[in-house]
Amino acid sequence: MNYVFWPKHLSTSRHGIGTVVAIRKAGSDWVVLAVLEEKEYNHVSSQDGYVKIGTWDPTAGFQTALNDAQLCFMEFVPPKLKLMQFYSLEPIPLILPERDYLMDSPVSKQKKLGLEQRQASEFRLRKSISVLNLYHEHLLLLEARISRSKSKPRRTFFTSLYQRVRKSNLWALLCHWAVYLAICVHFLAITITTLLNGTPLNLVSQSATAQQIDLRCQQLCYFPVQYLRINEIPASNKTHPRSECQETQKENDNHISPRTSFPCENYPDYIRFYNTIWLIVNDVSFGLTVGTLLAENSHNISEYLNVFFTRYLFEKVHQVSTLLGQNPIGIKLNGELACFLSDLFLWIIDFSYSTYIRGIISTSSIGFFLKVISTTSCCFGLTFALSLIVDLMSLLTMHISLFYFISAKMYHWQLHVMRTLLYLFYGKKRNVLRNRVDSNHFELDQLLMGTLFFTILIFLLPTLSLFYASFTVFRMAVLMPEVALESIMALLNHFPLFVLLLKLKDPKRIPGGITVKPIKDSANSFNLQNNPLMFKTIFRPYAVLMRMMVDNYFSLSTLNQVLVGRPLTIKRNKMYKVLYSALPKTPITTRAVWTALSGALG
Amino acid sequence: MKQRWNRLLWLKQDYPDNYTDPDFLDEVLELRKVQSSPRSTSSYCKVVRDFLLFYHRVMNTGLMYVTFALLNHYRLDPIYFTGALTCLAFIVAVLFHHAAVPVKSPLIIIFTMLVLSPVLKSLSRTMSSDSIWTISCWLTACYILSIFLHTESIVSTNILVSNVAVLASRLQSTTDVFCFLLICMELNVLLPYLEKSLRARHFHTCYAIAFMANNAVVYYFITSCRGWMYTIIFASSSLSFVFGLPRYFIYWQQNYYKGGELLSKWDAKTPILD
Repeated sequence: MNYVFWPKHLSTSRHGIGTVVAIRKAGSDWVVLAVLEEKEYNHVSSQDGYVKIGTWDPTAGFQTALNDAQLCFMEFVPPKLKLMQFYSLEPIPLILPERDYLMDSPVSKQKKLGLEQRQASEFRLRKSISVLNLYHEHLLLLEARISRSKSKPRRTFFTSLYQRVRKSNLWALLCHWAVYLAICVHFLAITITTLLNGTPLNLVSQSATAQQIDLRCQQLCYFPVQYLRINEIPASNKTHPRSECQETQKENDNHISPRTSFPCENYPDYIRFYNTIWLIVNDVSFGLTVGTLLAENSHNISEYLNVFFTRYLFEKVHQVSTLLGQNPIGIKLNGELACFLSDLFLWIIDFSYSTYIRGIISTSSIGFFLKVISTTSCCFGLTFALSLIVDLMSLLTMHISLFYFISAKMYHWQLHVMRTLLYLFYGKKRNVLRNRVDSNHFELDQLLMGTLFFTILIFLLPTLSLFYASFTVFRMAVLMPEVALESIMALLNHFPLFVLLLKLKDPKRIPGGITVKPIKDSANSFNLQNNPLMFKTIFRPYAVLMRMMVDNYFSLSTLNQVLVGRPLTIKRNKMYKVLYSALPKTPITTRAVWTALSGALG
Repeated sequence: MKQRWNRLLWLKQDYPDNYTDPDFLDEVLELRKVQSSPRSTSSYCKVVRDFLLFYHRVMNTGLMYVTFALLNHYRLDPIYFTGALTCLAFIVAVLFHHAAVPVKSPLIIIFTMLVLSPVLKSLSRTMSSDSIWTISCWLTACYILSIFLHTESIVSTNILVSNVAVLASRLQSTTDVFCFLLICMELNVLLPYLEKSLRARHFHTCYAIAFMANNAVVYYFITSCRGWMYTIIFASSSLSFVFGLPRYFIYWQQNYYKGGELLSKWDAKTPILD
């Protein structure tokens, strides 16, 4: 069975009786290019790949000249490559293919496997789609061949101006300046990234600001690569993953030579590049608004924050710690231990308050910080301001984190020791080598000591667990706003704004596969349609992130961890790795960028 | 060669359903013989002796409560008594072993107790006495159950130590706590050990003296605290336990006991769960 891909406008536009010319590449089906008149057709030779497959009659329609009884017609709207429309069998990747492992889940793996199996059978369709995507180029070539004898294509005013500008010295100077600037920025960005990710400090996992700077630097590092790809200048060390490779015949004698590479493979890069740029611009404009608001109301805000922080970071914590030392709500605590812990925490509170918290939360210094934040927000964007706020908050709540870690550690030790002593109680011992519990003969003194300690620890457990529970609640209360702020940051940094707008404006630019639907009246005609990317695919990194967050904060294993006393932390670098998915794992080296850019200059 | 027939229903075997094993008739004959002859049972004296041993351990536990009551309620100064008891224990240890007494282990135990007694004293300060008595009561029940099930298990020793620790947390001073711990260790860990070695060496007179002394202390204490009524009730119940229960046991063994290889072969099997 043979398929003929038929452009829709041919059926509707007015033609007289004419010859239907189609093109067929190795392994593809017929793609109809145009209906030509008899004398036009005389210019076309079949050695260029153009074949007459039938005739077109306005009344009777298409009359086939192929000696194949079964023909299937696939009607399609030719994609406008200049507007970046194209067909694709698979959804175009919004994340880099090398980062796909981050999204790994058993379901997606299965899907991938199915795709690979299908690929063999869909080989012909794939080839045909490739030809079909280049419809307008092929048509242009055909028309050029027909009209070559008549006239040369006219140059418009703008193209000639463009050509002249490109040839001028000033332009060359500007280009060189741009390249040097790009190289300097790239070098600076890559140095900062390397410093931030360096092993001894690893600031990225410690502070939100460092992470934000790192993200921007990596984006800056990736810009030249993206630019080169979009403009189809091959970066020297990068090989493009060409999913839909298309070999076009070289036509040396023609002034319009067809593209050697398939253009639409760079479109995802284009989308990613402009998404990033747009987000940065958005970020800065948000930042300007928020920064101005902050600067205008800084006096009121700083006064309010002073009262708020003093109450909740010092007075309330102080009150609770004191209360815990005095047998709260009739719970039978061990007086001595409770008193000791309470005194310890009170001491830490007083110390941290008098050394730095009081200094930071005084009205004047809050005003200063607000000024810094609003300036940052205006200059670099809202995300930087938010990351500064997050870092400042974690600094201010350090004493609460400290309490939490101390009590968690003690609680965990106690549970661990109690488990070991429970084994001793039954005459067992944990065998670390074989990871099992063995019987063991204990001496009388070991038994006595162990049992005495065990009894004491059982009596002390309620006290420690109460301290642990109350400080876990505190820690949670501190963590939640931080997590919320970081989520806003993630949205501002990685929201697929460009793709969403494309989905509204021109869904053909973000193909997510094709649909073939039968046309009602005829038996052998089908309609080829483009499926735009679904919202599910667009927001996939966010879905993965949400799942990770749920796993991290609201799952049974987390509850288990809390009960056992393992400390709960924000795994910042692990979580936001998912959102870095539009960036390569290691930024490209400056040397490579230099070679590519200077090569592009010529 | 054909597989031997097994008396198992769930096994697929190469035998007809109505197959009768040739050994079956022999077994039936043997079974008849066993059933017609009178059953052998354990001797009454032996059972009474075992019950007496158990009773003795319970009495040893009673000594712990006596000591506790003396320290906690009657506010006795425990130092002299503890010193005397420790010296006695030391002398006995030297006499019995005729060799170098292990020094390390007792020293470790004594110093551990010395270190931990202040902690123990403050351990349950905020709890009410009633809950401590309840905990101690349950621990004692567990202890008695564990020595009933396994005489030489370390679990029983551990339960005893934790019971002592719980009781000690009620005492007033650190000295009291330390002395109480030491006395209880000597009375409940060393004394049973000593008595066991006495029995093993057939020093029956010595053992009888120890037993009588133990009983005398406990009954004297009950009488002086609670009056004759309680003593009589307690004594009569222990007498019936030591001498009455063995009779019942032998009666049960005669009529209901399912042990014995041949007798139990055709009984319903209970599954062995791993």
